[in-house]
Amino acid sequence: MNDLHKLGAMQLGAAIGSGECSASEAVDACLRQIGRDNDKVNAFITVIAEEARANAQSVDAEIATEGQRGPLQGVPIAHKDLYYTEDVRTTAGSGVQEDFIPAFDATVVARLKDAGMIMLGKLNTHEFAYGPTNDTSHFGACRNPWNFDRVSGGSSGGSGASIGMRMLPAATGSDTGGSIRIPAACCGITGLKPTYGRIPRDGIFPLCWTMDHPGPMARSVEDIAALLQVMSGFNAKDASSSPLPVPDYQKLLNKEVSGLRIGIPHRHFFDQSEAEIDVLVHDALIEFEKMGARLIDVDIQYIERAAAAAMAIYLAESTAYHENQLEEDPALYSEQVRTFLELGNHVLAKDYIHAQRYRALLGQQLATLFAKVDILATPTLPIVAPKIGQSEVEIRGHAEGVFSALLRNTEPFNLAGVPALVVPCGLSKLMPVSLQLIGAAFDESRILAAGHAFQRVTDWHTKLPPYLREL
Amino acid sequence: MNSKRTPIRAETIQAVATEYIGQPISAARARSYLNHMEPIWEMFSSLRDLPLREVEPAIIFRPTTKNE
Repeated sequence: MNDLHKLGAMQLGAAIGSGECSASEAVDACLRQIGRDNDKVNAFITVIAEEARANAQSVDAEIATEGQRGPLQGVPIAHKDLYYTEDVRTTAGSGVQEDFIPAFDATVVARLKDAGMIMLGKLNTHEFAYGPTNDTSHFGACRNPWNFDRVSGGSSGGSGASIGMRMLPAATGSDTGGSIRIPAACCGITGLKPTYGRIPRDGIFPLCWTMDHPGPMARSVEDIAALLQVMSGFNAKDASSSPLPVPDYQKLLNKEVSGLRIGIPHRHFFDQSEAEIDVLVHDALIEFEKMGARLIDVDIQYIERAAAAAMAIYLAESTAYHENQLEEDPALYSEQVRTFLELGNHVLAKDYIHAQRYRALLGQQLATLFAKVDILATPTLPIVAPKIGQSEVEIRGHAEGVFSALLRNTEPFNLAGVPALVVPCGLSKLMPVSLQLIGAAFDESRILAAGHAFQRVTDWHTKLPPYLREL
Repeated sequence: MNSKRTPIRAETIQAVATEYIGQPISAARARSYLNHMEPIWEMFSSLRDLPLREVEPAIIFRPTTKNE
């Protein structure tokens, strides 16, 4: 079977389960693709080819005698280099942790391993996840599969670029202000930031304890649902982990969209996006209307203060975490991250507390809205992936910093802790455009069903970057 | 609550870094931070204008139980 690396996670799992191909063949196909193209996008920091091949042989032997024990057994995956991986170097994209080898796996890594997934290596990240571009990494900028001069988006840039470049079907990411959804949007793939507490955070380098959300990245919503199923569930090692039962996400994936009430917040999200992105996301919403959904205009009060609250929390919590290391080895940090960490020294306690009060206020606003609508829909990003090193963009005649533009539509939902799914929905300037679907807390199944319905009637998630089309 | 505040000075940044935080920084670095800080701190002050009087912070202390 050719082109195994181009299959989605569930497709590949089914092919392995039916004997159409082996886990070893799947791993070899992905490793070949990584060997051929990683230097173009710089997605992988570490590749563990021999271990992956050995694990694939064990999986093949197990499947031959006992059958496939789950839909993802034998499917390759890689982890953002923020996730602890036993005996495999974990750098956080920083010179500070260049030689760190954890003695244990993050809970999520262990769960995916138990499901039979085969780890191929560790993926590039913005240094300590402290930025949305991934052009600041001790291991070099991560590049966009659709245009190598543009950023992959971050902080989970290696995850976005490796899947977009068809090096493998699935990866883990983490999202503090948009770090799963931004690279997913920039690289034309699918990503989910689940509800805060749905997936345990333990064994993952923190950026901000109260805002960090681990989550899956893949090509389709179907794959995301399968990964979420494995990653979710209570773990006592994470104080914020939710004891709520985990629904059967795959079973709920085919829930009808007819009658779904979709709230459209024009202010802040649409009216500050590039005009063509505004049009493409509205076109996507028309697809939902055709399936019987109702589009309802809504407004999220106080949304314009989200950036201020998020910034106070990023600065305060990340500086608290890094304080000792920063004092000992400031030169090991990149200039950008060091600057942010040193600025955090000056945040007043009252500003941090006001930011945490704002989160409660925003949560109340959203809870009120979710009594009137089932989900919200916005553009994931107001711009397409910017060029590497670009610091400003112009949106509808207004100049704006790249960081704030990339974060504007995503970080409010980290503050509120509610789930948000992003799916590709078009191309602008030959770069991917993405739709964000937001649900009420712990209502992942509803946004997954909506995203899956959208991907059944569109093919944006199957589009290949120009470089791969030309081969 | 009101958002009136006195702009930060580079000397203050340098003094706080040195005397209170124990991480001395140069005058040039303090001046460069001033460019980042002033707009960010202005943003923070806008939070004080929100109707937060009856709103508790999103993180609340939880006593540790015997089993933890």
